[in-house]
Amino acid sequence: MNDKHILIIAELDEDRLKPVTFELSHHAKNMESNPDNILLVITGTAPGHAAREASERTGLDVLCVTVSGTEFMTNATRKDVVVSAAKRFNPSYILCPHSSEGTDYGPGLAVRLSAACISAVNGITRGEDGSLLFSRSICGGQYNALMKPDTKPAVILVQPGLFPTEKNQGEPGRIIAETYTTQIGHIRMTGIEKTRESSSELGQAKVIVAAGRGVGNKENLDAIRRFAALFPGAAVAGSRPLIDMGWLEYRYQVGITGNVVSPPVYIACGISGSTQHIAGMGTSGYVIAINSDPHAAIFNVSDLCIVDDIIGFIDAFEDFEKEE
Amino acid sequence: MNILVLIKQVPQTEAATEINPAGSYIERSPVTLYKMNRFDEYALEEALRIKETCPETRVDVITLGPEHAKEVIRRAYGMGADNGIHILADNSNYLDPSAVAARIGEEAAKGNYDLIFAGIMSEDMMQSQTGQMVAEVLGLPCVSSVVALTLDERAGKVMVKRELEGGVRHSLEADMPVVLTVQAGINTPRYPTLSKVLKANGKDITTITENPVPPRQTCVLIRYPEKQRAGVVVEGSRADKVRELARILRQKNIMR
Ligand SMILES: Cc1cc2nc3c(=O)[nH]c(=O)nc-3n(C[C@H](O)[C@H](O)[C@H](O)COP(=O)(O)OP(=O)(O)OC[C@H]3O[C@@H](n4cnc5c(N)ncnc54)[C@H](O)[C@@H]3O)c2cc1C
Ligand SMILES: Nc1ncnc2c1ncn2[C@@H]1O[C@H](COP(=O)(O)O)[C@@H](O)[C@H]1O
Repeated sequence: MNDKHILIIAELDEDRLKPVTFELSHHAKNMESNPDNILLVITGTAPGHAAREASERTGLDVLCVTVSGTEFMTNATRKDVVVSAAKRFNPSYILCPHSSEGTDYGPGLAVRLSAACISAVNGITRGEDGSLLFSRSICGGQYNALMKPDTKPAVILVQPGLFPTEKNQGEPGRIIAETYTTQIGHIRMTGIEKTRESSSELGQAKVIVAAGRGVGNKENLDAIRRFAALFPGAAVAGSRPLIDMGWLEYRYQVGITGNVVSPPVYIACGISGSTQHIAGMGTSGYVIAINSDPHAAIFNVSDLCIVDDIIGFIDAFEDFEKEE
Repeated sequence: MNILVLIKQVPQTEAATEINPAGSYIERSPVTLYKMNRFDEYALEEALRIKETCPETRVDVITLGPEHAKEVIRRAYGMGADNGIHILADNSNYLDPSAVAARIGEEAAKGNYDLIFAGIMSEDMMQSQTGQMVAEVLGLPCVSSVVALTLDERAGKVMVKRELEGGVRHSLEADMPVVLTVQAGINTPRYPTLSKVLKANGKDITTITENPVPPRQTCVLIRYPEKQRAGVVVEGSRADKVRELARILRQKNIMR
């Protein structure tokens, strides 16, 4: 079999392809002009349908690996499958999603292949010498770092949801079907739970007032609630640490592991603006951020920036409204 | 049981660092303050809870960083850790996680650990890689993003839940020794106690000198992120800011 310049590792939700797979194929085609040099790898207990869909929608060749010997496939197995594919196809880049699953197997995969691993990639550019550079956000979004891999292959984990998916106009790609039998290993998956209790309140709100760690303590959430009460149709939400600390219920969490919201107005109060939070509110209509740190990353994704102590500001705002 | 927890010293979000003059990495500024990576507090707490329920459990912590990284080991002692290992390393340039994992793995291999905990992510480098890489270096199984843990010491295994996006959780069972990376919210990390902090001051820290491992990637450039929206900063006194926000919200029909 011919070498491939790029391997794309697809992500499935049960047996269906997740959109990130098509974001990765979009990236791969920007990195490599000849699609024949790109191979999409799909691994699962019943991946046939996904493989056909992927070959039609991307036009890329697909390596479809059916795993038997287990009801639920683990990432340990996925890692074995991708290592074997990497040894045969000798790629320069292995693109995976920077998702919970991708970060579970990607770093270990890189160690096995003696490869660099660049994660949470939010952009791909070319350096002056034409080499590919991968940008990623660091320090809670305060800076962007441009990284260059020094190995072949390099494992690249790309942040989902930041880039367009693509649709192929041409012929579907070839499907190479293989099977893989797993042994019962040191990790066994015993079940899948869906605890999604998405809050319709957040979905319908005209304004979301979201509190972060900057509010200081649970009692101060009252100030956030009073602030929200000034705006008809407003709802209160929070960043993940507030849910982790038990200040708010999970259904009010905004972010990659919570709700993805898009209200006409989003007011971020004492929220730093980490990538995981922005993934849940970045498409809001008008974003206002109130934060005491003028360098907070949230200001980069805000229309209006107010540098102030959140509680002091809200108190003053309430007083002003009473006088009006 | 022997448990190892990977703890990292990171700059506090609010007390920011700066971009170095070469633009190749970040450096500390006069206002920079450090703390223990928030996710590692959850990892350490999980280890300390096991120590409280399983007799004869030892909790070691390990950190790789410059001299001042010792402060996180002292904090871990204050929370109840037994032994601290400090791999002395210059971090004034980007440290490749595979190199960090190779060094930590080398030390971890000497300790006969049943459980190794790491945080899900470091707040400064935000890679979500190091714990998983340590597992691979040691040839151990690994579960990342753990939000619930039950230990069955007799059977030599753990039952865990790992979190995916949008409220999905996978239940898994893993044989020890195993590496687990811990997500926030799994517990409520304790504060150091005064008596333990006082004792910690006299406690030894095993310091291991640097033995650099070649990196597999280079940080070429650090820059401030581009503004993705208008980013209009409301200037003036607090009263001015209040008035301006009220005006804008009225204009947008958000407020009567
Ligand atoms: C896999 C994974 C998934 C995650 N999923 C999510 C998610 O779904 N949602 C989410 O939100 N996070 C998520 N996180 C966590 C995320 O990385 C950040 O840790 C979190 O978003 C930070 O929350 P924060 O902004 O409230 O707190 P911090 O980052 O601590 O920021 C607090 C902010 O408040 C400001 N501040 C402090 N005092 C004041 C004051 N008096 N007045 C005004 N401002 C003040 C500070 O300047 C700072 O900017 C996830 C992390 C991981 C690893
Ligand atoms: N220099 C370090 N010293 C000790 N532990 C570390 C170090 N770097 C990373 N870790 C551990 O690895 C986890 C993930 O870090 P990262 O891969 O940088 O996101 C952290 O939460 C720590 O538990």
